[in-house]
Amino acid sequence: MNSEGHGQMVAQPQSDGSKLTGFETGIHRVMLEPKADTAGCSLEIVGTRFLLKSQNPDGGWGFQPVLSSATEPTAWAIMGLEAFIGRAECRQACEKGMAWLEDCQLKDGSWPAHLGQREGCWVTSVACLALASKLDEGIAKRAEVLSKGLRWLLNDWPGEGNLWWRLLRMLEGSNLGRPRGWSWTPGTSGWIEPTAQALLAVQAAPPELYPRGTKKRIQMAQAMLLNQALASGGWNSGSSESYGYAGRQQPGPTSWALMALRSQEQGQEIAAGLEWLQQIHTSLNGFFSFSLACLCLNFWEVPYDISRLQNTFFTRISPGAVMEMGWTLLAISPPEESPLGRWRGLKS
Amino acid sequence: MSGRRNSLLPPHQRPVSRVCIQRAESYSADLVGVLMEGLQNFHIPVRGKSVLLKPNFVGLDSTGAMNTSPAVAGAAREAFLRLGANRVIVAEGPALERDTEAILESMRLRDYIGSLDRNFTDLNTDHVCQVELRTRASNLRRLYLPQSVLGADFVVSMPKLKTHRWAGVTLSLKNLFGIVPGSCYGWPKNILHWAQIPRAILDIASTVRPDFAIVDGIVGMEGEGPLDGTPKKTGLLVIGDDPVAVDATCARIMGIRPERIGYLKAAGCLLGHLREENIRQLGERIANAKSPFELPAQFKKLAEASEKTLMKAGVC
Repeated sequence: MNSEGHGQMVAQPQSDGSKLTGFETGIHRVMLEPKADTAGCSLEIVGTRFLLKSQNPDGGWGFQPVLSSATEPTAWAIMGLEAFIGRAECRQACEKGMAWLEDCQLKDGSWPAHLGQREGCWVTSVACLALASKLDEGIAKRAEVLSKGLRWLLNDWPGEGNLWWRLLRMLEGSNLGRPRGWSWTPGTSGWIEPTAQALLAVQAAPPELYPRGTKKRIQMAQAMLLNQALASGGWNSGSSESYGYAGRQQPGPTSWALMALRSQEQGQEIAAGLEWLQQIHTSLNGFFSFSLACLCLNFWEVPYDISRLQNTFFTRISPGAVMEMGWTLLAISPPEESPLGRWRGLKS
Repeated sequence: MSGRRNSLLPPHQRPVSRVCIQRAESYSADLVGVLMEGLQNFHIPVRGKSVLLKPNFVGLDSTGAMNTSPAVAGAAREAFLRLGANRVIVAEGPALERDTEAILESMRLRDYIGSLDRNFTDLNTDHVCQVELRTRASNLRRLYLPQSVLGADFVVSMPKLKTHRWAGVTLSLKNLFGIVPGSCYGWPKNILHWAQIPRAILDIASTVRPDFAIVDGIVGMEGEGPLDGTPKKTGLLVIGDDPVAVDATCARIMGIRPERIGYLKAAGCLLGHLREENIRQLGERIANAKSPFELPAQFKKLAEASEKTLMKAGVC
C-alpha cells in the first residue's frame, strides 16, 4: 500500500510461503524451467509439469506461478490437466483445484475473479465450464455447485436489459429487439467474450441442470454472436461497427465465438471466421492469442500449426502464463478424450 | 508520495505548478538527454525508491500514433534510473486487447527496456486490493486496483497526445484507466463507461494521482482518437509534476480550451491547476509549440474559436 493506506488486501502471494509485498509483487516472475530441462520432452510433459509445479498450496492457480489463486487460471489449469487425467498426479492436482473452485463460490452462486472478492462476474462461466467438464466424479455435490452457478448465469442480464436503458432507447427510436448476451460484470453491456464463455458453459452442462428459460437464453446468445460477426470474417470484442468504423477482427473474441457456436450449422459467419483464424494464427505474436487460436481450431478439428506451438512453447524462457498452458494442453489433446469432448458432445 | 498525499486540494492552497515543454523532433533523437534536461527543473525524490511508469499501450498500433512510443518509455526508465531510483518498471493493463504480450512484441518494447519479465508488469493480472475511491463523481465508490500501482513510491503517467471521441482528449488523467485490472472488470473495462467516462476519470485520478506526467507528443493522434484517428506530428514532450496542469497545457497546445473538457475543468477544482496564471511554463512557450488538432466530430466546440463564433454556431 502507498502512504495513504486505504486498500484492503484481497490476494496474497503464496508460491513459496514468503510474502511478496507492494511493488515487488508486480515485477516478480518465475521462470518455467531452464531450456535444458525441456529438451526432448513432449508438449504434454512440459505443459503438465509446468501446471503441477505452479499450483498453489491452497489448490488454486494464479495468472502467473508466483501470483495468488484466481478463478480463471484455476479453471483453465484444471481443464488442461483434465485432458491428461490418466496420470495420477494430474488427477490429484485436478481434485485439489476443484475443491478450491467449489470453496470459492459465493452464496449467490457466482464466482469472484480473485479469492476474497465479494462480487461475482464473468469468470462464473469459466468455473461452470470446469465443473461441467468433471461432473462424472463426485456428481452430487458438484452438480449442486454447478446448478447454483448456472442459476446465477441465467439471472445475469447485461445492462442493456434494464428498464431505464430500454426506455431511453425507445425514446431514441432504437431497435429494442437486438439479442442480448452476457456482460463482463453485472449490469454493464454485453460483449463477445463473456457471452461466448457463458454459452459454452451452459451448453456443456447437462440439460437436467438447466434452470427455466435456459434454451431461450442460449438461442438469444447464439443470435447475438452471429449478429455481431464481421463481414470480413471473425469477431471484434464488441460491436461489428462503432461510430461508423468497422470493428477490427481480434483472435481472442473470434476464437471464443467460434467455440461457442460449435453446435450450430456451419453458416457463412462461422466459415468466414474459421477461415480468418486459420489464416492468421501462424502470425500471432502473443502466446495468449496463439494458444487460444490453436485450442479453437482443434475444437473445430481444423488443421493448425502444431510445430509452431511446439517451437513457441519450447523457445520461450518463461511462458509463465497458466491459462495459456491450460489451453495448450487442450489444443494438443484429442477432443474426444478431453473436456472438449463434453463441450462438443452436449448440444442444446 | 507527495503528489498522492496532496491529491485533493483547492487551487488556492496549491503552489504554482510547473510544466516543461520540450522539443524532440523524432523518436531517434537523444530522448534520455532531452528528458534529463527537463527533469532537472523539478524536485523528483526518487533516490532509492521504486518508480512505476504507466504508458498508454492500447493495442496493436500500425501507425505509431496510438501507443506511447517504446522509445519514450525506455528513455524515461533510463532517466529515472540515472536520478537514483532503485527500481523502475513499466506497467500497463491494456483495455481492449487481452493479449498484452502481442502488443509488447509488436512494439518491440524489450529493445528499449530490456527483459520484459523483469521490467514490465501486466496490470490486468496483478495482485489487487480493494480501494475506497476518494471522490464520488461517479457511482463506483470503490475499485480493485493493482498492488504494483498502490505500492509504488512514485507513479508516472505517460500518455500519448491524443484526441478521444468520448472524453475530448486522452492525456495523463484519462491514461489512468489502464491501471484498472481487466482480470476484475474485463476487456474493455466497461464498468468505467457505465459510470460515465469523465466521472470515472476524476474518481480514479483523485485516488491514484500520478506524481509526475510525461506526455509523448512527438507523434500524437488527431481526429477520431483514441483508435481511429490520424497521426499528428508535434515533435514535443510535455512533462510536469501536476497532471492537471500538464493536461491543460497539452490541451492548449492542441488548440483546445481545457476548461471546456468537463473532467479537466472539474479536476482543476481539486486535483491540480488548470488556469494558465497558476502554471509556470518552462522550456518552449505554448504559443510557439501550438499545433491545433483536428477534433472528433462531437467535440468541435472545444476548439479555441472566439466566443462570438461559438455563439453564432449555437454552441455556447
